[in-house]
Amino acid sequence: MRNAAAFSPIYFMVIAMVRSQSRTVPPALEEAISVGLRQAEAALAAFVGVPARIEQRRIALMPVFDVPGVISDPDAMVVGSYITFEGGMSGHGMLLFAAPTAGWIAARITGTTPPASPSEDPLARSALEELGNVVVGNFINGIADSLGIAIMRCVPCFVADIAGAILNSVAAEICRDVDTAVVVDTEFHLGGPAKPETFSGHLILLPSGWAPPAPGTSDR
Amino acid sequence: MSAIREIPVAMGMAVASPSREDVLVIHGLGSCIGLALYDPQTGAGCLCHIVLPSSGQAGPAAPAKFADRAVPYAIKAMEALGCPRHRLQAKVVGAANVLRQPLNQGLASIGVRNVEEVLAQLSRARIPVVGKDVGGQTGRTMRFFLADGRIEVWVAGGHVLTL
Repeated sequence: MRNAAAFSPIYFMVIAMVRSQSRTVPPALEEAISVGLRQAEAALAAFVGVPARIEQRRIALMPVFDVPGVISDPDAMVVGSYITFEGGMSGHGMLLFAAPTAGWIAARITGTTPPASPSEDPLARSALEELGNVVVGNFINGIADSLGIAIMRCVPCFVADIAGAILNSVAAEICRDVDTAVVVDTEFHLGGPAKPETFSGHLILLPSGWAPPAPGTSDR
Repeated sequence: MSAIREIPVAMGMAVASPSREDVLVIHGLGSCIGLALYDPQTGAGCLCHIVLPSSGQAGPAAPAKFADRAVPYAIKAMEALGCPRHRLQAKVVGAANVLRQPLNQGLASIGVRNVEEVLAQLSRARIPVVGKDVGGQTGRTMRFFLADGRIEVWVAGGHVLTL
């Protein structure tokens, strides 16, 4: 039987600035997303100590101003970590959990009981921050490897707020440069086939500000 | 008797209404600004979801994306509803630094500069600011009730403030 907390949503987002005049996701970026997910998946499994799978369900282009709407309840309290990155591709990444799920995940990592309020529990905060660093960081590294570019990550920070406000703030920052985002719906599976724990979520990329390198060129 | 109608206002958009039954809503305000203009005599109101302070060299954009364009736009929208400028009152909500990353000064300054530009534009237009809840580090959801011009600000974490 699945843990009830496992049905709460996870929001897994990376918003990157990628320059493209296309109305579709550039194939090179789509492939890089796939590579990044596999790398994040391996890191997630190593971090939580159980088999992990990150399933990509959908990739869609949307206006930046619609990004806050990808989470069905913008007033839902979410908890997680937020990372910015720059270099060959710049942008924002975050791994957000619905508050009850965050406590459950933190307890899973630390081997303790779920805290009543993960945002006020130092151990839970640290665990979630590191989880974001591991998952989003490896996702970004996978993209960088696939595209042959260098991406530098900043130190992750803990965030706890309503989902709409977090996405609103990121969208405000990036809409100065770009007007379209790529949204990738994902589903997380932890544990083996005998005892699966499943989470749904969103992975978001922003396609403008980066151009696919010419064949045979690379900056790393 | 008409039912109360809740109208969401998306990023960069402005909604003006002459109906006292309407409630204009912005969910999840972070660094953005919710600017409400209200005419107490008619009950008409306009709510702008402002994203950035200055349009600079930007081309055509959503009407409320930039503060320097949104304020004149909202005033014109209210005038089109028969509300002269001298009757308008303003309330300003938002501009939080939700992403508290020290290295990410750009995000924090968007909120600060949004507030400065909106207040400067309102001052230039001689529209009094009768309510304000800006800054801080937590997101907000605001509801603008045209029945009486009040604004309910729900702050992340649970408490509600009435302007």
